[in-house]
Amino acid sequence: MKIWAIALLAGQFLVAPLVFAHGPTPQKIDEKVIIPAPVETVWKQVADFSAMADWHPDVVSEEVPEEGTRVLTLKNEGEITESLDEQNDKTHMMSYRLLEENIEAFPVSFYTVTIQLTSVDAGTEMSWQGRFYRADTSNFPPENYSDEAAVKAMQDFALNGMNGLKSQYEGKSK
Amino acid sequence: MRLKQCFCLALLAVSTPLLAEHAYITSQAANQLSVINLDSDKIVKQLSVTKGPVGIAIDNQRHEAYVTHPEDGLVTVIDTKTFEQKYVIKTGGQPFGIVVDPSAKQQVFITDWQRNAVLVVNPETKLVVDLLSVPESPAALVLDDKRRRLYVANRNANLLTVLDADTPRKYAEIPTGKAPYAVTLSADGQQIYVTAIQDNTLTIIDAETYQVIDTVKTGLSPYGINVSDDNCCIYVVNQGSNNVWVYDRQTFEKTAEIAVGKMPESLSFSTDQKQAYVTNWFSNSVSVIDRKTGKKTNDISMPSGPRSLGQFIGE
Repeated sequence: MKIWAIALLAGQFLVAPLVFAHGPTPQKIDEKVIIPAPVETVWKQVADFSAMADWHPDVVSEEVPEEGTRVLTLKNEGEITESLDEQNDKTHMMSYRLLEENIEAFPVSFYTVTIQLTSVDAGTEMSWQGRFYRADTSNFPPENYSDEAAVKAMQDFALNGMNGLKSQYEGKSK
Repeated sequence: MRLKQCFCLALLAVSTPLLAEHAYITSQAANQLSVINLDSDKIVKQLSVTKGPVGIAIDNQRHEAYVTHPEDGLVTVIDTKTFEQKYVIKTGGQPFGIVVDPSAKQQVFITDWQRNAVLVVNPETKLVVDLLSVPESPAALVLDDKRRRLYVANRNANLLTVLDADTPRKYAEIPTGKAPYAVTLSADGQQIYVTAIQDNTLTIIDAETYQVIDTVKTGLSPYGINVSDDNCCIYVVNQGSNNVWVYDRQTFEKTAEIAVGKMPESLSFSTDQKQAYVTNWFSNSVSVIDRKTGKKTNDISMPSGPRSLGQFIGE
């Protein structure tokens, strides 16, 4: 990677797009999962900003140093801190952002997330949308801190969380 | 005051010749530049450009649009008569915000996010002629042509830097909210406005004394900011709230809240000031706002990731 970087820097003539070169480019995820439970039931669980560890399989424990701030301990023992921006019990929408990054634990330098629940025939449609930047925002990030790594981390975290909820309710209905 | 404003607006409406006007929209994820004709609100040209276009500046005198590509360290120049790419300027670093000097001096100013600098490019020779040091992560910038000053928002330093537009000189560093991103100047040149993404504030600064006049609350994650030419209203784009807040220029009170698309970023006015156009990064569209009714009248579909940091409407 480094040799490439040096070669590319030296070759400023190269105008062709560089496959792995990036700038501060925001990335997005837009994931949806149907949870087999009424929207109010799911909302009660998701909207509790201090209780993510109760339903998210990737979150081992959670601390709330102050109202609206949570420190999540992930499965890899790393901690990330999030802060709540908005929560609307009527529209079942909440948004929060990364307050303190920890790129070794989670390879994203900044994100905002919006969770929206909608009542559907099969229960609740949970939508998880995120806007974020890769861990290393220079033009030559190592692979583990690339856009792709950031997208994968955000996607996995969203899907694992929503599928965790889903299986929890599937288990209950059995 | 009110009478004067009405007169100005009426005069503008009568005297503006019917020249086609366009919005130039950078789609960062799709590597596209789209040109919208403001009469029809239709895309009249879609151009593939090099990776990750973000910032835009339009030079009506040279008939050129400048597009920054932070990922490639390049600025592309588009002919606004033919909508074709004319040339590529190699700046290095991460060119981000951009503004054209309308004076006879041949200067284009570009923030370099990575090298913490403002690059000065000569648009005739296409060469970087100067590199001015500024605090960490310069994002947007604006030129005060009357005073010959540059105001630069430094995102990670929580500062607005005041530079001389003609000589390498720094006049002030003004504290802003947390993570300042966009900056604009009122049309009468009296006040500077800076949005701060992380603490959801708008800082209002006296352009003569550099004193902070007021700090007001915005919606969540304010990005774009613009003040209408009649100096009546301040428009702030709230990325986290999916809307635009309008403030009274005199009282700094919020007077309207206009819903737009998802995760909006940048706002520019049509030359007649009747419409405001907003890029919606997440929902891949541009919203058109009728200023009189304060309502969204149209959504124009865009290639992925529209941003257009800067003044994106011109000839």
